[in-house]
Amino acid sequence: MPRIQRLEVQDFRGIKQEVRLLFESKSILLLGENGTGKSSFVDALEKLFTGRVTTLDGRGQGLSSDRQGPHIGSGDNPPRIAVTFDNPESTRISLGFDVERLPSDVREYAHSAHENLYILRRLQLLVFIDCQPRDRYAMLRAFLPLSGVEEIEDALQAALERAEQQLQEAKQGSATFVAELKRLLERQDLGETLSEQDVIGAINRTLEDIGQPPVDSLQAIDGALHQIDTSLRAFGDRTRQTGISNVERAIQQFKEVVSSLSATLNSMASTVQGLRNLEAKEARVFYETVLEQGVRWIQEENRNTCPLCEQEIDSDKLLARVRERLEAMRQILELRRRALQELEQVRHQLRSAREALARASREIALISEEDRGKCQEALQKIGVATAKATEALAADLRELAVETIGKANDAFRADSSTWRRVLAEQSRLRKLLESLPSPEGAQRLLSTREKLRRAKELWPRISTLSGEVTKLEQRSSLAGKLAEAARDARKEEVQNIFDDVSDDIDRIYSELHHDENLGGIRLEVREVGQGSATLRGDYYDRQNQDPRGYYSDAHLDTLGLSIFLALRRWYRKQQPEFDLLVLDDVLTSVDTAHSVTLSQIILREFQDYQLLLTTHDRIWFEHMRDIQARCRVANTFINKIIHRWSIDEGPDIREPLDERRKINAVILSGTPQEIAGAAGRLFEHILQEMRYTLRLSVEAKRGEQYEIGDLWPAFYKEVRTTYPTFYEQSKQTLESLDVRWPIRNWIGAHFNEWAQNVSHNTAEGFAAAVSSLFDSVFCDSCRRFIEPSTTPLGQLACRRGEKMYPATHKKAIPPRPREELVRETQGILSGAHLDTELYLTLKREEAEQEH
Amino acid sequence: MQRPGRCRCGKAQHRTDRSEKEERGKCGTKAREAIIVNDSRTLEQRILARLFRKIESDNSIPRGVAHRIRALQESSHLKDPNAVLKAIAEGVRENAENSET
Repeated sequence: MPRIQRLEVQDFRGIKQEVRLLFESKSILLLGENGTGKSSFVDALEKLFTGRVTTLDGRGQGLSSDRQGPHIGSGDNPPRIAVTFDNPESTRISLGFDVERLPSDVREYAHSAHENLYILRRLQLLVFIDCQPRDRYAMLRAFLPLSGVEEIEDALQAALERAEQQLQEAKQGSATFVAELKRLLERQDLGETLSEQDVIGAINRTLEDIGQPPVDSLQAIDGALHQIDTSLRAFGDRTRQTGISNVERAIQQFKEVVSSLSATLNSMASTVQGLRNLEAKEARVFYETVLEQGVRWIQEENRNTCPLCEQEIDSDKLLARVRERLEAMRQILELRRRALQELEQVRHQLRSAREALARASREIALISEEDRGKCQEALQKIGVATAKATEALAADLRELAVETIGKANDAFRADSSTWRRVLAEQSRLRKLLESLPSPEGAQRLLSTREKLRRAKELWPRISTLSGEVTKLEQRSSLAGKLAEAARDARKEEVQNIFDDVSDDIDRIYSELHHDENLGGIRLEVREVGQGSATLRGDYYDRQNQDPRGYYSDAHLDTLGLSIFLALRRWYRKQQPEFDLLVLDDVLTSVDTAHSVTLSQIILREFQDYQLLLTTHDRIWFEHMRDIQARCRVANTFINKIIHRWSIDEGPDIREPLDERRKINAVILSGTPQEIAGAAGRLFEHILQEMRYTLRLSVEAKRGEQYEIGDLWPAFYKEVRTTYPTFYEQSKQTLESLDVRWPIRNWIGAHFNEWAQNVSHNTAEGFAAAVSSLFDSVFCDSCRRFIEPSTTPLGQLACRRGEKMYPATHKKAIPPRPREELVRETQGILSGAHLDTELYLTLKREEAEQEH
Repeated sequence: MQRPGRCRCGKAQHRTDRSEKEERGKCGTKAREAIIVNDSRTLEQRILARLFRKIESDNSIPRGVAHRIRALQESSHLKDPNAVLKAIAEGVRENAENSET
């Protein structure tokens, strides 16, 4: 599992010159006053891993990390952000890195870090609590790696929609052919589905009318046609009449189809117009499922707050309004369904019209040119209009304009020139037929023959489509079941996760407020519509309340933090290789007792994470340092202080060794002021560290802002009295500094005209003393300051024991790992017996002596 | 002071004592946390497993369809609606053939 070794930032946010934040694979606790660049490091990490900065890119109004991210004095220099990992290759990634080229472990890390689910800033604390339930759900959704599952769910839903569309088309096709067959056989009384027996019965009635024997199956139609042809021969050669009659019938069929097409188009235009009007009216207020669920919640749970926005409501008025909206929506759905049905019908009618036209064209080719007249041209023109209408009506219903429907219908109107020419040609053909010698009997035979021929063509299609509809119905039903199963599976698992997270939130929050009557925190997720999540908690005897109504601001802050921590823990379960957690100055309104408890929770629950904790609060910083030791994670922490910040230099977070080297450099070429300034900074750094390690007693100062003048006397006194070995060995340095330290204030930190003549030598003497003190208290090999040893008392030593100042009259003992000490002393008190009576007697005597 | 917590089943009305750290809440439902913690599968894997459990236990879905949908998932084709429709059609056909024989 790779960890961050160091973060390098330059020309970004509040950081101008390159600053390296050395993690050394450990956690960092960073203290800095407001505006000293702490958050710049946090922003840099987020920008590097996610490409954005939430506090800029998430706020809108023209703010963006690309615009406001670069340092204001960086000019054309682009920001430079880089992170080096501690993997065997020491991989270094910088802005715009190609994730696919990284070693596998770092690639996994970068993938996990791409979603910002590990950085919490003060600004974001209340965001989760103080937002709409649907936004809260959207935030939770970001923690769930559901994109793969959602793609599958979408695919199953798309399969269902396609199956339904295919079913609709097959049903429509079948209905069109059935309608044509019923019209042809003059049996409108038959139902929507035709059986073979229905068709045979209708055909036999037609055959009976012309005195022909009945058929017992549809396969026998060929025999009946042959019989009719035989009967027709008795009327002599009827080729010319048959040809003209066929053309006229084909045109008649086309006319009938167009007539019903035109009626459907008119009806559809009116439906779509109504639909568009209603959609325009209701577009902004409709969320059907949300409304329906809302009504259910309000009614079943007797709510007096809105389940969506959690505001107070008048439930009667709201229910009436919601029902009104739902009714409007039902109308929209009905109109949409009808329009879809009509559109399908129109498409089939157009198909039938094209088929009738093709048939007419074929028949025209068989008659003489003289009989043809202008029939062909007229049919060609109407054919072009039909093709255009087909193309125009191929669009999706959502994109279909009322005007398009009207335009498609134009060519088929009775007063259109194209249509008038077709009718004129049909009339001409009819007159021509009447003028030809054709007894009525022959006409009836011809007509029946045509009907049988068409019925013979239509029935196989109807029967195929009927089988197809049955199959498609089954397919559609199965697709629906699969889509529903996928949806339910996702909902159930997500619900489990939120219950799990709720438990963790409640656990952390209850531990934080263990002696208060708060808790029972519950995250209730309702996956309705776009999804929503409500937050509930208990307050004394009031259960299941919105925490915002009862909790104090500080309690809401800690609730926000508990929620974030629980979510982060959950996300770690999903991405175990990614262990970064960043808390940017998140505790401002919490009192000391709670902040201590919270610190313990953080250090205990997240001890196997790499943390970056920033704070402006010196007291909390100190508590954290103590708690680190108490939680036995001190070895995994680096505590850093940003001493100062300037617009040109950025945060001053230099490492002590760097400061030491700078003194050497500045002594060679710097002015007395520069020498005193550099030495003063290192001197202050040493004293700040010694303040913690030696637990110096310093007079309390508002804001905990201690300077050299406050720290030096305490340090000097402490080493003289408690650590005589160290004092003796460093006596010359310490006495020199006791005299010289004000030089830093005279010329290093302030401008004093009266101190301008301080010589180079004087400043160099101060710097040499500071350097000497640094060399005495800082170990180069373990890179740590010396600290008091637990055994023996009075000894100062670094962690590795390479720099040691033994206790008076005692041998120097190198510090040993704590585990070793624990092992050695295990069971040492097993035989000890506590005499309570003796203890109380001693205490009593002690109290009497005091009196 | 011991704070009463929520029942391990997740329901507010079944409350239990946190100090007991019991596996089951007062309603007897197994702790949800235990289910989650012991499950090392990813969320996506869990959802898909649940999906296939549902599909395979539904008697109205032919076995051939369920098998083909699982095969689609294994070959990473479950995100293709056409492949899903094809699998349904083939599964139904196979089921019809089997029931005929």
